[in-house]
Amino acid sequence: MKKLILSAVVATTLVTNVLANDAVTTNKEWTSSSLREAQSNRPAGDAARGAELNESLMCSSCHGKQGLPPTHRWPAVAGQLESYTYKMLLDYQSGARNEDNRANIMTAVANMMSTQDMADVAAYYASLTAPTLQQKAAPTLVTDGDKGRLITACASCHGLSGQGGIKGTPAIAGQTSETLKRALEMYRSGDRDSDLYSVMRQASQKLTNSEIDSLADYYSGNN
Amino acid sequence: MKKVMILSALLLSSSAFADERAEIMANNCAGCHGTDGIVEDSSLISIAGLKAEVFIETMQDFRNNERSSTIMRNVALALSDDEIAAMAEYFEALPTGEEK
Amino acid sequence: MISRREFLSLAAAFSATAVMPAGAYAANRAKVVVIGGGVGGATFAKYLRRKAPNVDVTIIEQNPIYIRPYGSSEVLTGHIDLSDLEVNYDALRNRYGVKIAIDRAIGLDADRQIVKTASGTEYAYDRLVVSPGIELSYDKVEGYSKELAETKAPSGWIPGSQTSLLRDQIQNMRQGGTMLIVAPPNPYRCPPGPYERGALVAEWMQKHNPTGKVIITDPKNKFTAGNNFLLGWNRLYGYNIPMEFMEGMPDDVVEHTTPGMIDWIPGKDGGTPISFDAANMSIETEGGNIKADVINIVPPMKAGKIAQQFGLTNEQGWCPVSRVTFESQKIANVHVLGDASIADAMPKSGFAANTQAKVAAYAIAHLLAGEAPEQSPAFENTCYALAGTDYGFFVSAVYELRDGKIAKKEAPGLQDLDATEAQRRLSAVYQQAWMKSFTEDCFA
Repeated sequence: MKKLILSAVVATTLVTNVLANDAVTTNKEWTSSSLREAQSNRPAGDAARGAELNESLMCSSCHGKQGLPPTHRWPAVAGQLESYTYKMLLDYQSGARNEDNRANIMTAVANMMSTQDMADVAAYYASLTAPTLQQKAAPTLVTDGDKGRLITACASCHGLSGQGGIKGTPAIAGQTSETLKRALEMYRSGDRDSDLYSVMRQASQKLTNSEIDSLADYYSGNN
Repeated sequence: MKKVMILSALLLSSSAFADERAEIMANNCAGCHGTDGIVEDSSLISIAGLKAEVFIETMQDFRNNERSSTIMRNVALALSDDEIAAMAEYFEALPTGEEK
Repeated sequence: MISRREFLSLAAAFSATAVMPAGAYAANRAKVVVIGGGVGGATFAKYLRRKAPNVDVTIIEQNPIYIRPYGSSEVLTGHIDLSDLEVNYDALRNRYGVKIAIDRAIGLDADRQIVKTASGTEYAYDRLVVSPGIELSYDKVEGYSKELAETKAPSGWIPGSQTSLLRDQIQNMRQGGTMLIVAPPNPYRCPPGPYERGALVAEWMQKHNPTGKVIITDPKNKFTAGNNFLLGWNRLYGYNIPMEFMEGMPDDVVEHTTPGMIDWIPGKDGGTPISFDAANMSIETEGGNIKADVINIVPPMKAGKIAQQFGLTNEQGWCPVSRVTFESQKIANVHVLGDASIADAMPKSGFAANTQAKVAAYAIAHLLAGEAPEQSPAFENTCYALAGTDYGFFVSAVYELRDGKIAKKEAPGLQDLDATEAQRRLSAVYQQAWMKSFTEDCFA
């Protein structure tokens, strides 16, 4: 019974925000079951259609035709986990992800998209080759985390090579250091708060600026 | 400020005015891209420090619609190759500040 | 209005005061005085201080806070408050060392190069820059006046109390009421402005006054980005595009069978306004009488008053200037930029004023150093406009000197009519972003 109510609430939230022009941010925190529900409701994605949408919705203008951004201001999406891309688009559409003025572009784009559109685009990006990382000496936060600050090792979810995929975490290898740095800073300040159970907010809360720099440096492979 | 070096073979003569005209044209970008090419917390992007070859390729991609845009296609179409090359050198030389 | 003769007699009075002539300063620091702290004056001051930090720059401005006109129509629909339009001069003062004198210029001695202000201060200058914006010629519309604009039928073209009044009138309009916008003749500040205003109010009415209507009556037969607007109105507000504008329109244009939220009456169809009847709340046009609940009259304009008072204007009320330095063709060492200047192909817009100001700043920096300024400057006007909150488009042009005049470089100057929904939505996002970054480039 509880499960049904949760999914109904999530569904209503999505519909409401698609229709309203000035949608109020519901800022409804994900739970693992609401997220599981949303993912199980994700339509089967058509990568070929996704490639077309990548052009017609102008995603390619910032994220590139092959999911690698033409300028280093924006994140790569090539090879990203299908479920993660899908979640990001849902979050932008619902307003759950609204960390700064840059997010306004994604909100405007996501507001045009049906869940089928989102699934198709996610399937297309997942079919592209993800950027890879040259193996180099990883900072201890990556391999061991820091028990004293309750920081989990980044590699335990994102992998030593940043391939992601564990517990639904995104691939982060080869992102530009500036996008990685921005993500960590936004999680740390709490401006970005659509992460399930605050796991990223928790992990970044006690990071120093130089630690953020070194983590961004490591996972970007100096991109 | 570091003197702008103009490398492209197509370019204007290396008089002081060639440099200044590039700067005057680059100033016109500041309304969107920020004074000295730096704009913060915006869906518009900073362009200070952008590698010259990336700047030139980007403007060409905007021109021929290889990269979709709103106004940038019109802007790129209005500029000559010389002007784009001169502005590319100018922006590359600008300090990036905190955000690149 | 003070006459030129009265000015010259004021000038004679200056010689009695102990003010050193401009030449004496040349040995020390050069002095540039700017009248007007709007987009043009502020951008000029900032960019001159950056280019030539050895030059003293003083802005004489009446208002301690600037209220930006671009985006001001968003106040009418309650999207923002009037206070959101406010910009202060802190950065100009603190970051660039621009002196800001909150004062009003009242006299010019062009020979001795001195400006006198209402507070009794005298400013000697090596170069004077006048960037006063526009003056609204209320009395050019028969039956209209400044007093009526402030109480009954606001213009709201220079933001302030008239904007608030217009907002209140729109929001308190009876259900099924009509807002009439009287568009001005060319040239005027912000060419797409009246049409964007009509569109945003129509959008607001769809939610809050669904049987209401917006009518735009116009002495002109076309306007900037007209096709983009008409197409947007067709898609959003049930407007039917007249046959003569249908060429190039995309396939999804619909023939609406019921009247739409917005209507536009061009001059050739009788839209030219003749007079305003305040008691009756109606406008007599060439095509007949239009009664409305809210009447927003945007009257003909000319260069800001101070430009006229100083003798910088021509018979049409605008200031002829050099296209290279924006120096007045009427008074030496005085420059005019922004709306008040005659800049050939450039529209009267904030972005245009901003780029003119930068060119003038560099030119004056060179002139003060005894050098020749850049002879082929470039200017720009790129500006987003809205037909609806999520429906944006743009005008975009780069300008250069050709045959001694400022001409638009060859390139498309508007958004394509077949622009996709993504482009329109992104244009709307960039419009908001641009207003913020633009304001920072001018004032911060």
